[in-house]
Amino acid sequence: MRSAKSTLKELKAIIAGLMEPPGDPDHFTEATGIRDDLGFDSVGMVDLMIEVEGRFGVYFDPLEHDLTRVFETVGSLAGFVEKRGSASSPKGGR
Amino acid sequence: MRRPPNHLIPDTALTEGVLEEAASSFSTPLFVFDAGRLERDLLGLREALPACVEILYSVKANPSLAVVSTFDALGVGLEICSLGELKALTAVGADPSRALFVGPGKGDEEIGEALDCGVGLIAAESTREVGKIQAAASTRGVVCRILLRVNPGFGHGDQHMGGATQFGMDPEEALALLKARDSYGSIHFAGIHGYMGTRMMDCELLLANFRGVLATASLLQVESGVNFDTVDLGGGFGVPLYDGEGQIDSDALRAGLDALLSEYLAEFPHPCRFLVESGRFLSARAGVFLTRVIDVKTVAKKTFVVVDGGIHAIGGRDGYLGARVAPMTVLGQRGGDATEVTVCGPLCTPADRIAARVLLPLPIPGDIIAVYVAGAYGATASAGFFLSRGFPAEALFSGGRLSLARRAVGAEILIEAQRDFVKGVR
Repeated sequence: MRSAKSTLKELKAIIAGLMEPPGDPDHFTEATGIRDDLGFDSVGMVDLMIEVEGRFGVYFDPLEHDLTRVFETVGSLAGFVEKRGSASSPKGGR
Repeated sequence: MRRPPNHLIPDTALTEGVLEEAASSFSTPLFVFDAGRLERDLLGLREALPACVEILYSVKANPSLAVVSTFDALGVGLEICSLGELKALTAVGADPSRALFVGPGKGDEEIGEALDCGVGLIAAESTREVGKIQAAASTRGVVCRILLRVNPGFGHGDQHMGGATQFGMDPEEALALLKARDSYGSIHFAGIHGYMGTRMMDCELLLANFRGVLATASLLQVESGVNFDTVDLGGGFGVPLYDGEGQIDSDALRAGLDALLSEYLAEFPHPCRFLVESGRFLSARAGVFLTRVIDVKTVAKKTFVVVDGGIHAIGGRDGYLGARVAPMTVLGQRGGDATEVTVCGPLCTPADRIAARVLLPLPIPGDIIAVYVAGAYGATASAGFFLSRGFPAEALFSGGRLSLARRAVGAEILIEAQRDFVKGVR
């Protein structure tokens, strides 16, 4: 079970790693805007989504979750991941 | 590391051998449809519904005449929503009296054509439209059977169509029309139509929608004094496409809808047709999309596989820029070592991604990639003419034989449509 602190640290590293050239996670705060400050475009956001889903076992559903809000800042994304953990799963039949 | 959800590859007659033959016989990109699977999925839907419920095929999911004619031959009525789909219906010789015409923006010409052809039922989406139908029917000296499309302010599933959307009318407006029915001498108000969502695999969601439509039908009949002879419950039967998605529980759906209909018929015991519509459930699994690898390259340490069929051919089914991966294989390499690749089409936009960061056996140029569960909302929902690419060819596999169902439609038809301009310029 990850702590909130380690989730945030790991998330920052993922975000930094996806940037071209790689960003410096030590310069990110919770308020850092993923799109506005770090310049992620829609393709980059999707790559981030894929990476976060894979690493944290969460699932982003654009119908259930307001993804613009979720991916707005480093902090909002970390908050989503902490709340969801491995609890969420895609919709399925019975 | 993401693998394509290949456990979702449907059982069809489209073996690797058949697919390879299709790719080499016809041009790529290419859609191949298995007639046997179409029939099987129709039977599957019939088993998931009470016997009294009639199924309509939603042409919008796949308007290929090969698919439309297959369902017509199997006795399925057609649900159409444009002049183009009406033309597909007449092209295959389907009986228009068994068709339902839906859509929030029916033009005067479309309504006129539908009446001239003898379309059996129109789902009217507003009072204005009812007026148009009345005028057109009256001119022709016919009585048009209509369903009032009611939007009761709720919905479930993907892109739900209840609530504040452009579809249908408020129940109050429907009631006002029913009460004023005598002033519409050329219209028979047969009942209502409700369609509240798409891609639902959870039968509780489907049943909640059906319950809502039946409740609306009850209320409107009680308040207006009209007896409905037709209730269209809508549809939205989903098919698993992405990892983690499951099948609809057929037994639970049939039992649940049986109970709802019994309850409804106890209150309204007069004869009534119950309709549902399905496009995706009936056609998705019968289709495979084939695309040829043009280039394989590594840029900034990421491997890209560029294929000839991108979002212009299969992008209509939103995969969120390749984040959602459908079942897919490299023909001839079902097993083999897997490399993380991003599969991209040939378009000059980074948005042209079929699958992002997925594990596939590394292909070489000339290899064919097959994307499964591709029979619904494939080419028809894609930006075929973007970058003047055109729509892919389509093939049908039926009775053990492959045949070309539709040749590729290139951008030359757009050039042809501008012939007069070109003449003027020259």
